[in-house]
Parts: sequence; C-alpha cells; structure tokens
Amino acid sequence: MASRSKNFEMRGYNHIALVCSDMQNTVDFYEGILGFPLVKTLEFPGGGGQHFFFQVTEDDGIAFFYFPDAPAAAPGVASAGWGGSSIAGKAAPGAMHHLSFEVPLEKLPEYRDKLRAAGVEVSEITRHAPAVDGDSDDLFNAIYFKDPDGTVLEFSSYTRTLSEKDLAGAHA
Amino acid sequence: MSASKSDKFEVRGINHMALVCSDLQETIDYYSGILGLPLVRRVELPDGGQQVFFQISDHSGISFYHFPDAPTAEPGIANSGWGGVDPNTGQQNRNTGRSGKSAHGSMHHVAFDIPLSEQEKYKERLRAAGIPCTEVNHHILYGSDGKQASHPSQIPDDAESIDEFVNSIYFPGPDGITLEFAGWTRPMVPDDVKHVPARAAQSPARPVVQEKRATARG
Repeated sequence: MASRSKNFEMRGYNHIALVCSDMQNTVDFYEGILGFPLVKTLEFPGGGGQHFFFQVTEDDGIAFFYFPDAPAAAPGVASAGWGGSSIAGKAAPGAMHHLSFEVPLEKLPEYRDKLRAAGVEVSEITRHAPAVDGDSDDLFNAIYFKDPDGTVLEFSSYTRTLSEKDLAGAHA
Repeated sequence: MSASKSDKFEVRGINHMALVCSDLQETIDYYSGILGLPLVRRVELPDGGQQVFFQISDHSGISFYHFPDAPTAEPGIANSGWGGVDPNTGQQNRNTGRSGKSAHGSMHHVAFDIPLSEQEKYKERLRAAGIPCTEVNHHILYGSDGKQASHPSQIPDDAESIDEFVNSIYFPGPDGITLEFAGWTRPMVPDDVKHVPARAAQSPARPVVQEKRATARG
C-alpha cells in the first residue's frame, strides 16, 4: 500500500499494541466477532504475560498484551470511556482515545446490525463534520462500539474525498 | 486498497487511531515535520478542543485531540511510557521507574509498518532529526520457554529453537508515546499460534478453546 509520508515508507500500522485484562475474551471478540485472524502468540518467561497479534489488513494489525499485574482500567484517563451509546469524553495526553476501522460506506447499516446480532452494543450511524462553508456534505459516517475492556472502536467511512477546505478547521 | 483480513467485515484499514496530545503545534511539527505525514483535516470541537488528522497510507491515518482541560498525563497507566535509550544495550531503558506496562483498555505503544531493508537507514534519519532511537531489536526467541534476545550476539551457542519474526526500532513521540518502526522478517505460519489465551485472574481456565482452535486449523 502506498505510503503518504514524504520521509519514511510507512505502509500502515504493523500493530497498535493495546493492553487487555483477559486474553481469551480478547480473542473471542477480535477473532470471533470482528473476524481478524490471530496470527502470532508470545508468552513471556516466568509468568510475565502474553502478547498476541491479530491481522486487520495486509498492512495493518493490532496486538494485545496481557500482564498479570497491569493497572486496572482507567476510562477518562487511559481511554475515552463508553457513554452508553457513543464516545463519552476525554482522555489524558499520551493516551489512545478511540480506534477507527475503515469500512465501505454502504455497509454501515449491515455492519451495525451484524454487530448487534453478535451481542455487541452499537451506536446509531453518526454523521460527522458538515463543511466549513455551511453546505450539507458530510465528511464521514460512523458507528461506535466497544471491546471487552471498554476501548471505544469505530467503523467509519468517508462520504467524499478530503479537500483543502478540510484544513480550515470545520466545527464538529 | 489493502485487502481485509476479516472474513466478517470488509475492513480496508485503520482509518485512524485517535490519541490525545498536550500541544497541538508540537504534534504537527513532529508528525508532519519529522515523520512526513500530511495533515489532511482540522476540526474545532464544541468545547474549545481541536482534532487533527494525518494520513499514513491510502487507508490508514492517525488523529490527535487537544482538550483545553484534559486530565493529567499518566505514563504507566495511559501508555507504556518512554524509558529512554540505554547506552549500554542500545535498547529501551526499563530501569527508569517506568514499569513498561499500562492499564487494561489502554494503548501501550504504536508500531508503523516499514520495509525491513530500510530500518537501519530510518534509525539514522530519526537520530539526525534529533529523535533518540534504539538500535534494531531483533526480538529473537529461543529455548522452550521463549527467552528473548534483542541481537543475535546475545544468544548462547547451545541455544535451540531460535526464531525471529519481527525487527523493530523504538523512538519517542510527543507526550512520551513509544513509537516503533517494525518490519516482519518472515510470513506467519499456523504454528505461530500456540499459546492458550490467558484468563483474568478471577476467571476459570477454559482449555477446551485451545482444542477447538487446533481442530479448526487442522
């Protein structure tokens, strides 16, 4: 896949490493429900934990650590937290707020229903970012849901190509 | 387009991971100026915050929020914390009071995929830009209990089951996030999945799942 960096050939995310409280629940969710194949497992010597890798696309993956002594979840600091039907609020500098996967626009209603059928709580389709000049073209549509540790996930689709006006600072 | 690996959802890429920064200008200088990623979108949030988006590849990007009243940074909780480069090992220093862990449901670190052949060059390029960067970590595994070595010279002569699958360099981003440039050294094979997923301390073990997996992979 073509890198957009002018300095480094960055092809995507080799892995975004997250921390889970229960690797089995994580495998059940990311492989069982989202369908991302588990491709690599590591176990640290001396009961130090595990590191599992899932493939998302040919060039993107996500990984999870399990540490037996990891700090407890800290929504609002270490992640956005789930507000019941969507993203709740803030997180601290240096934290991941949420994670968004790109899917085809026309698939969003089907994917919302499919996730719900699998028992996942999912928001309605949210339309984001009217253009600066006040016309009504959305920039992207999204649904939100959460993983077993409360990490807010998103399926999103651009409704049009980004242009110069998207750098002007549109009001959300 | 990059093909989805999911057989359930057509996921084209990681549209963005949204992180939180303390200084938006510093973040733009770093991700656009040093990493070379184009800034493609800015959004003003209703509460006075801002959000920016950088493009990484055709279907993947990275985004940052700036909240005027964000909670205090919590390295070791909200991310793994950058320990600096240990001059003796050339690897990340884990003896600086940083546990190298972060909370359940948090981001630990972020790895971008790069060509393996470029790794040494990129290390030098980052250092030339003033960014501390580790030596290449070969992540060599050996022995029946998964011992790790960062460089081939550290493996005992009698070591068995030596394996390598990814090589990495690590460097810090703004707000102490650990970033990584990683390249796979070989394709993954079914035998790469061989550990029973750990349960949370209070959950009972479910060994039956591993049997099912083995059958499915037949």
